[in-house]
Amino acid sequence: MTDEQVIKKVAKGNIGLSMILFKKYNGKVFSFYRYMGLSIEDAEDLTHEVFEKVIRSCGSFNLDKLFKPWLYQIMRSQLVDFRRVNGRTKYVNISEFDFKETVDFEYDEIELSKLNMALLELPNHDRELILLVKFQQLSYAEAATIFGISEGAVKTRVHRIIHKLTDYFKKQYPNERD
Amino acid sequence: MKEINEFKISSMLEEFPELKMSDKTQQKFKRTCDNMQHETKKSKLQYINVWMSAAASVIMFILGYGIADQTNNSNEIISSKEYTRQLLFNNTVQNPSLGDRLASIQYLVSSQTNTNERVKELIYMIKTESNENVKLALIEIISSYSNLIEVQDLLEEQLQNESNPLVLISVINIISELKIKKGMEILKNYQNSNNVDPLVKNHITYLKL
Repeated sequence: MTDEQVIKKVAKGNIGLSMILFKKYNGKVFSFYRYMGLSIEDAEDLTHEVFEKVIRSCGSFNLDKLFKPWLYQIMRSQLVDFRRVNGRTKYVNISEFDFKETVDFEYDEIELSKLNMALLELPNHDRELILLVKFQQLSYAEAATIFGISEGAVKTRVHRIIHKLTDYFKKQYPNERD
Repeated sequence: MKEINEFKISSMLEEFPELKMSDKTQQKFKRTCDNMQHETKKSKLQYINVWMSAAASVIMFILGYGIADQTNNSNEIISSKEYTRQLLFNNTVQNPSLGDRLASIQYLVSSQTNTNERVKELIYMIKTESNENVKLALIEIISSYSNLIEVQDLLEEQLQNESNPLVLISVINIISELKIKKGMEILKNYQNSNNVDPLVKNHITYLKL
């Protein structure tokens, strides 16, 4: 059953089926919030709210469209609301972040932590975009819809952000150039 | 060198590890789903209930006209209409939705032409109502009939038995405005009592009886 078929059934009142979507995407949504710099508690609360909102507003979901970009749109709007209420005060100190919560740990922890720190140095809108396109693997077209910009603009911004991250790495860790 | 680094960073971002939420939050969402499923079922039942009441009302109305056509007896139309009203009244008292209850109360009050019957219905609803907001609305409606003995008796009874301070303050306001004798005596006793809610006691003091 596709995500769209599941959401259609949820909209008809079979709310229990939303667990399928929750199991499939909760890690993605939670990770997005964590990589955006939120504490574990806040990220968990927001993830819960996102899926609650999915159930409550699934009646308005356009069945001609894909579920994933719609979910990420909700995820983004929840983050905007969170920022409006909490400002920047509730963001975690980057040094507190670690990768102990990972599902499969097959990466170099130090390298990932460095990249995560570099990510946290980016402005919010850049960090959101790069996470959605690279980590969440949304297509440029889907990201363009979510951000309300052209596909070309998404490509340019993604390229610029990667360039920025590379520069950050070079400045912070000059000895690690291969 | 630069090309390789950009490529590496891009690949690392794509392979960023997915983080895991605590089991507690996952269970919380499961509970939320169960609650929402329960709410949906309940609201569907309420929806059916309202439609059944409406259908019953329409049937009774048509039957009433049918009888009137056959017998040309206006008393039977009135009796049929009254029966329909009674159905709606029973449905209102039992309706679990506050909004529906308030809407039906408005309709019942405006559709009852006999004042005594209207007051009787209001008294019954006040005595059986459990929600403070609905009760406040009912007390506001019934306060326009406060010249009737049965309404004054009800207000005195509410003054002695009501536990919700907001409802009680609303009753006190009506009693003090109308200077209902027995009610005023009870209020004076309340001023010196230690068993009265402080909010209510302050309000009585403020009224300067």
